[in-house]
Amino acid sequence: MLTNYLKVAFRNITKHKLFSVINILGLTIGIAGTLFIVMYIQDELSYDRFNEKGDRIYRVNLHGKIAGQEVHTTSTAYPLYKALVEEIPEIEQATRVNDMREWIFRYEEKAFKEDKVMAVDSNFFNFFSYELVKGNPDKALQDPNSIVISELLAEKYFGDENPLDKTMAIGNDKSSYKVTGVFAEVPGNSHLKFNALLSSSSFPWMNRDQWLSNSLWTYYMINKTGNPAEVDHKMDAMIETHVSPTFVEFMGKSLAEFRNEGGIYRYWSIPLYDIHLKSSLRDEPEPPGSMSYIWIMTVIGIFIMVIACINFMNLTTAKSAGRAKEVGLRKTLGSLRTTLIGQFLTESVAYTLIGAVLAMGVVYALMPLFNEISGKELQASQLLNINLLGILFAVIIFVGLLAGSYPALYLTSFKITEVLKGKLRAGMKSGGVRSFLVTFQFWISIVLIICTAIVYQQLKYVQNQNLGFDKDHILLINDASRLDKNQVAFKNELRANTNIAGVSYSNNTVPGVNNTTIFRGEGDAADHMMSTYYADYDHLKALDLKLVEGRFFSRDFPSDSNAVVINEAAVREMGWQDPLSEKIIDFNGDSAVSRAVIGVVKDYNYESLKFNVRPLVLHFTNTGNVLYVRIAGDDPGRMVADITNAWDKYMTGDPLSYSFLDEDYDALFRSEQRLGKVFTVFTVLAIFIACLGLFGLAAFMAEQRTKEIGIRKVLGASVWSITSLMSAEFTKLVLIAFVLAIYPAYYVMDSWLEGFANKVEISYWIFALGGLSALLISWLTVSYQSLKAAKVDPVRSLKYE
Amino acid sequence: MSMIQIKNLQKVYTTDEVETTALNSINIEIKEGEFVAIMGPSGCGKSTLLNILGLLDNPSDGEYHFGEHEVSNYSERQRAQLRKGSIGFVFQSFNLIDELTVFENVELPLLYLKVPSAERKQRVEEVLERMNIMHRRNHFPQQLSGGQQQRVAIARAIVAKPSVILADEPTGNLDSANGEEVMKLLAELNEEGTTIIMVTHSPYDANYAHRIINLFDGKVVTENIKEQFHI
Ligand SMILES: Nc1ncnc2c1ncn2[C@@H]1O[C@H](COP(=O)(O)OP(=O)(O)OP(=O)(O)O)[C@@H](O)[C@H]1O
Ligand SMILES: [Mg+2]
Repeated sequence: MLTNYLKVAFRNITKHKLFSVINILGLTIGIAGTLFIVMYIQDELSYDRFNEKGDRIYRVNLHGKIAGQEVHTTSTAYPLYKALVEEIPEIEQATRVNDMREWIFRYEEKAFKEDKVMAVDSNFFNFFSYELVKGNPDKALQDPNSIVISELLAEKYFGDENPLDKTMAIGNDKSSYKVTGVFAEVPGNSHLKFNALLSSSSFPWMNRDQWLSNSLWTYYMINKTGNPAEVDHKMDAMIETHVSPTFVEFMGKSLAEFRNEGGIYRYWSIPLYDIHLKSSLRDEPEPPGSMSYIWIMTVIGIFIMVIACINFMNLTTAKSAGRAKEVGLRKTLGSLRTTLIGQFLTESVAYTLIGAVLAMGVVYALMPLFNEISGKELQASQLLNINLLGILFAVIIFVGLLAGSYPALYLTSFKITEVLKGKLRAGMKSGGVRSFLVTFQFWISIVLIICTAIVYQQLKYVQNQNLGFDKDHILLINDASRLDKNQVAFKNELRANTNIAGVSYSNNTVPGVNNTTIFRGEGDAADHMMSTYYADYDHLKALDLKLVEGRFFSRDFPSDSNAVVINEAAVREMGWQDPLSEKIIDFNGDSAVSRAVIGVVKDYNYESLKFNVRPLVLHFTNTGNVLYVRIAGDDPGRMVADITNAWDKYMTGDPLSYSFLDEDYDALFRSEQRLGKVFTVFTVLAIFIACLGLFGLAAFMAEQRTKEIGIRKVLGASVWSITSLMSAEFTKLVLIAFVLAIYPAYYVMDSWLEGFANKVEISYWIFALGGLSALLISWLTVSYQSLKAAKVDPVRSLKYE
Repeated sequence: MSMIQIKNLQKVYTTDEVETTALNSINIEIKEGEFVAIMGPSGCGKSTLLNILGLLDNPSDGEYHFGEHEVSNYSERQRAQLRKGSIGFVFQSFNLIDELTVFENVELPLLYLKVPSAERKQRVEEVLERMNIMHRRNHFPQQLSGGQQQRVAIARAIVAKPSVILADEPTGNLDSANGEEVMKLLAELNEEGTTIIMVTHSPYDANYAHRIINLFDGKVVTENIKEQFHI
């Protein structure tokens, strides 16, 4: 009997080609979209799960409240890992990872700057499950000056040679490191991503017994019976024994006093598996994912599937007049309704199966494109992953049953005695349900259009918001200290170039600030947490900052090298009326120093537009590791060449590396931009599938009304009046969908915007835009069929009946 | 032995507050092996009666004995079960499934009866041979003439060897030559022992029956011998 069902199904597919193509295409796109979303989510959820003992691994985070400011960071102290193993019995091992960022690597005549370099403890490869393809995992990171590199780097520097035991010169001082291992590329779903690992024993300062300086990541592994809450508890005690003694020295008060004033200083653990999706503290190794985006993706995936299912339902029921006779006959021959329902469900599952197979092909073909849009590294081979196939199977069954459910119930509800009269205009009867379903499809589409538009508006808004300085045309050289004693000469050479408007050394790379610490006003006992960095005389000019009061560091005032410039937020933080008459106490050096405030700069956003500008104290330096170059000419390409030439004069064979500040700022919004793109892609998909369905329905309506149209034309109706008659029905549905879409779209976007410090006003025209574009798209879709029907020669169309 | 016996049968259609009494106090008995024609003006309830006799529909009131079963209150499932093996249908509009070939259409009742494949093939070929359309076995209904389509429909009605065949204006859509051929086939089947109940407007076709039941406005007016017609 199954073959009989499939035979009928297949012959129906080939008989009604347009409808079958629309049905299958809709299902294919829908399933392909869903597959992408499933793979995306799977990847997000699989972060760090490749670690064999990952379920017992935790990372230690620090929660502090200092001078009224909350600090949540992933950075921990150097000696913590040792104390964890020695003092907490259930901890089996602990390991540290210190982000060293970018270094220059040299081998023979090859020299490149490599990023994602990390210093790690010798048990790293035992602790995590990263794959070492060459070298001994137990020993590779033991000795000082050992380096383990990725396969890609091995290929890049050593080609076909065996990299093991080769010596590379690393860093500005060209220290020698011996290659002791090569690891397979770090999986895309690892929260730690690195290109090279240096042994922590190479850096004696990593073994300092310094408990209050938090700068590296600490991970621990507990035994099978251990409890992380217990560990947190024991870490509290650890703070008493280790941190307490040094607290007075560094903070000017005892830990107890500090706590009495509302201060907090404690370590806590987060499971390794939760890091990617649930942790977004300061100094995360990479921008975290987000559970809410996963939910959004899930909802969009379901939406797309539902739209595809509705197409199937609508077209199948619309076409049901053709199947009514079959239903009646099968019933006459003794088939039960349940059997018939089974038949129609089999048929829709068969359709879905075809769609699924095609969808696999589509996903395979579009994988690189999707990776580019989403920033993932998904592999085509993951398509055959058993979990994914399982999910695909579930999707086929679910979609098949959902899409088939209404047609099956509807078609099999025909009474034999009615059907056999042969007069049943079944297509017309389900009009109410069909209208509802079409409205629902457009409701989804319009909600998605509005949401996408608002996401884009917000992104544009934050990115174009006034930073308080001009971020365009600024070139940033990130490791200028390589120039060593030539730093000043290099700067002077650039200053002499008429196409360069400003050159400034600093120790800080914006966007971002690497030091936020405690200051006091002279004659005031209150602590104030403020960010700080060092900059030279020309910082104001190079960044195009605006001065509100006083002056910037000036060559005319030698004493300025001991003074500070603060921003408006700092003035507010300190509560000063006349900041230029005040002094700031700075605890940064060996002893507290009092520094005169010589100027106030207008607030400029040195971190990210996601946050409001925080108080800032600028110290003076003559040189620094970071050089800002403002280009004035209109030929940035030539200027880069000029700068490179100047650099090469001092640093032959040591490549210049630079970035542009505006791009660095844009990069802060990469995950939001991705969301925007992903949103757009799936919105377009949803609308496209909905339009496919509409196109099919319109074709069906036109076919059904051939006779009516013929009569109207004979009576003198114009092509235009018939076309609008045909579009009127859909217009009504789209309008209803639009009205129903307004509030949900507003609600969702309003809550999304909550997460931004600076947010765009949701304006009414966005909604109008959503509604109008849906209307326009539906008109275009329907008009083709309507026009075709309206243009048919009435004499011919009347002959049909 | 009586094959079909109905007593005081009534059928009322209720649609939007309007009640139509399609059949009113009908009493009919049909014996095994009989050939009965049902006649009457349009709208008098012939098809309604045939649908009830064929267990496609339930009466509103009254008794209906089919063989030893009292079926007037049968559920859809029970009726389907009983219908499957024992009743064959022939319609005016043939009602073949367009997506199935001649062979597959005729095979359908056997599929519902779960007859094994080899036996199905043999039985379908037998009836196709008999209806003289074996050469068209792989054609689709749309590729056949009306007469051929009706022969396929008859083949399908008899392939399960039902004890009763119900035919609603089987010649209605056919020209006289094809109509005559169909009537001869029905008569032949009747001769072989199959009970046949046929609705028709044609006195000529009715002539093939042993007995004619005349309906008027939902009631049996005469249940008569065919001799009153002069053909
Ligand atoms: N589903 C229905 N709902 C309401 N009334 C119905 C229904 N089916 C039939 N009727 C009514 O019942 C009566 C009998 O109809 P039926 O189809 O049995 O007539 P008929 O004798 O077969 O006519 P014809 O010779 O034209 O086929 C008619 O008045 C018809 O309008
Ligand atoms: Mg009738």
